[in-house]
Amino acid sequence: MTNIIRIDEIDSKILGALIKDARTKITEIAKSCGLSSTAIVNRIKRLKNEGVIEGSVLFWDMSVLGFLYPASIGLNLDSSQYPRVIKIIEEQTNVIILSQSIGKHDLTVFLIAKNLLDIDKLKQLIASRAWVRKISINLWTTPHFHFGNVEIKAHRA
Amino acid sequence: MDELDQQILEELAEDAQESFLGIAKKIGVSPKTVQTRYARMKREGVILHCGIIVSLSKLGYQGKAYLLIKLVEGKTREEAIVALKQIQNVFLITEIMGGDCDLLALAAIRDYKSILKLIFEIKELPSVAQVDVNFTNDTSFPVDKTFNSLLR
Repeated sequence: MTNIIRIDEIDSKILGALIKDARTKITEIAKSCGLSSTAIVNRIKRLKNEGVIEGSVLFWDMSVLGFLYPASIGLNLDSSQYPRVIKIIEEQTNVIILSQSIGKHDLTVFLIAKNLLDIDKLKQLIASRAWVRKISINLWTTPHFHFGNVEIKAHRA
Repeated sequence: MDELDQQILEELAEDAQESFLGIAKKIGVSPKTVQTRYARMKREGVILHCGIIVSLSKLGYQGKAYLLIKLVEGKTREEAIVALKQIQNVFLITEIMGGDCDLLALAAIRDYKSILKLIFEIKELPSVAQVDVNFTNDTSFPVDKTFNSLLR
């Protein structure tokens, strides 16, 4: 069980700003919090040291390089087949997220394919090498992010 | 988009907070060039989002839920999307083609009670016919650090 880190309102504001845009100017954050830039920088350091901030990510329009079809694939299979299927999926170059899940599917995969045929090929590859009950393919046509919707709650220290 | 743009994207994928100066030194151009190209790529929608990754587990969350939503016949997706945007902790919504649903939403989940509350809230929407859930216990938000591996 991960230990929960106590954060306050200022930390909450900092995280909120950086989640929206990692390149938000420190001076801007400092102004809106009524603190010095040094104070903000120190808080960010602490949040990184405590593992609250794990790193950063860039989302960019991958269609520019031919990655046109973001899709999530849901797989239903026996746990005995997991290693085999996971190995196949990990060898693919366009798979970005692979998670075990509970619910409608047992494994959830997110990938971005260059063409629809590639997705179908992956489906056939998995079906040919492992015993899978079902493979569902959902093509993402218009993703919209609302990262500010996630509640970054301050726990009073 | 040219090679220089791609190099800038690669540097940002490594560290989205790296200074323009730092990127400029690595690539061998002026910081002003990096800044200008970054601004242009943002303006043109090549760069969609540049944000930190937060460990939601450290903030009391247990995982994420993929919500596969089927709409009532005749109801528009727009209606449902507007309503879903209002629900707290739903952080991504996409229309779906093919597959087993009309919309997919991703939500951060604190605990069992909150999944129930979330599913109930979504089912209450007049345009929603059915909701299926996949719950994963990965808590890196919005995604894991491995996300930008496509660029390398």
